[in-house]
Amino acid sequence: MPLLSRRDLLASALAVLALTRPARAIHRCAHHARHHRAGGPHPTPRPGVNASKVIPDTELAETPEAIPAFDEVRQVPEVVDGIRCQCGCSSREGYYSLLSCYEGEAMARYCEICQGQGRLAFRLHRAGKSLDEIRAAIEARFG
Amino acid sequence: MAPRRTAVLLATVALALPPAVLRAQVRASERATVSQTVDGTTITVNYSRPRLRGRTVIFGKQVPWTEIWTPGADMATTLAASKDVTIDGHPVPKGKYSVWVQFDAPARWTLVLDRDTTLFHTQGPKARDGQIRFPARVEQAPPAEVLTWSFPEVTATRMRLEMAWEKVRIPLEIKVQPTHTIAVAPEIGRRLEGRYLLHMVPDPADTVPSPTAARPKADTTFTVRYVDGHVSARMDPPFDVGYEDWVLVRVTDDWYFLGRTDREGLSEVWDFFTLEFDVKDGRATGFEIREKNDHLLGTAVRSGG
Repeated sequence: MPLLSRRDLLASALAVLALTRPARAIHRCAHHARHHRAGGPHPTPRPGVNASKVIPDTELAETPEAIPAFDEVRQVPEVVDGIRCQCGCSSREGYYSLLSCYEGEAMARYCEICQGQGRLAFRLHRAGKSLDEIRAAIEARFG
Repeated sequence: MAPRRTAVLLATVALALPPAVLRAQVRASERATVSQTVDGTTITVNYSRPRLRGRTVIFGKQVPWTEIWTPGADMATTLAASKDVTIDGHPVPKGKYSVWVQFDAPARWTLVLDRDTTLFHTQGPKARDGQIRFPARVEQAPPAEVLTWSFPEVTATRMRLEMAWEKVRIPLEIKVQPTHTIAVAPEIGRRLEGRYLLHMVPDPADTVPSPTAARPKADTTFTVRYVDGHVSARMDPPFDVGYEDWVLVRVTDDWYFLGRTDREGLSEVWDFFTLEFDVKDGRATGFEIREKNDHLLGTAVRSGG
């Protein structure tokens, strides 16, 4: 059976994707994002914060698509800790910042909004953007 | 002793019954809720549904012209708006209201929204500060046995809420605040103008079985124009039949979502893909297209224009 790249499929069927998007398992956080538009201030990065609590790749066997996001967040915990997650999860117990989404139960395993914010933070930080610029970009795209 | 024993038995049975059974009640006007969301704004109407039950004339008889009437029964009908809206062009701040109709004359009805949502239908509010009042359109309609609130029309920017009972209906046009706008300043829009070659990034490791043996053409031409204050784009070949023409919805700086329009304006926004244009010396040199999780889907380079 011929194989087709997922990206090739996307290129040919973005329309279909869009139509079926609501039925796809985007994860409930996407639903939260629509309705909560998670507002509120961004947290102040905690002095000395590190990525020691970010779950390891060995715990991501069921969601390998999330591994790049976790790998990148591990490299910039002090940036990610200054971002309020826009997916609507920020009211849950024990939450401090977007970094919390990558720790413990790590909802970023399933939430593409958490993944997108983490990866975007990494990419913009690497491009030399300030934390405020990164926050603004995340709010614009995910808020 | 027998009556006392009976009373104890009844009390015991009552206590033993599950709460749901105790609450169960047949009502002449059963409670109902109807809700509609448009562009993130949700309108919810909670009301009781009286039935004609053999009555042929309600307005002017069962509901006298002197009355301020809740379009429902029992507890006043409520309307909740999750964000600011306009109803028939009148601003209605977000919040919950009881809904009333003031009959000024048989053919002249006024819709009243009152902040007190705990009123019984016999407690029609007097005119007071904070109330929203505007003339209601009253239309003749096919006979309706049960009073019904519904949303018979929905678009990307508005919804029609309608109350129908007996032989009349009251349509209400509700417009929401749009989340997105397609208006772009000329100096921002014109720097994107031109033709781009969009190449979808291959990812050999990420493959799924193909439904057909045919491999789609991966590259497409993406032609951007700034027209009438907005940025339009045309794909050739398109992703799919009917998906040739797009409008770019600005997210921030030079980032855009793909959008589609109809005769009323913006009808759909694909916020799960972001086009990130790279602008150098006031002119876009290309763009990346990324998924919600920031995976790179494709890259485009300027090829002309």
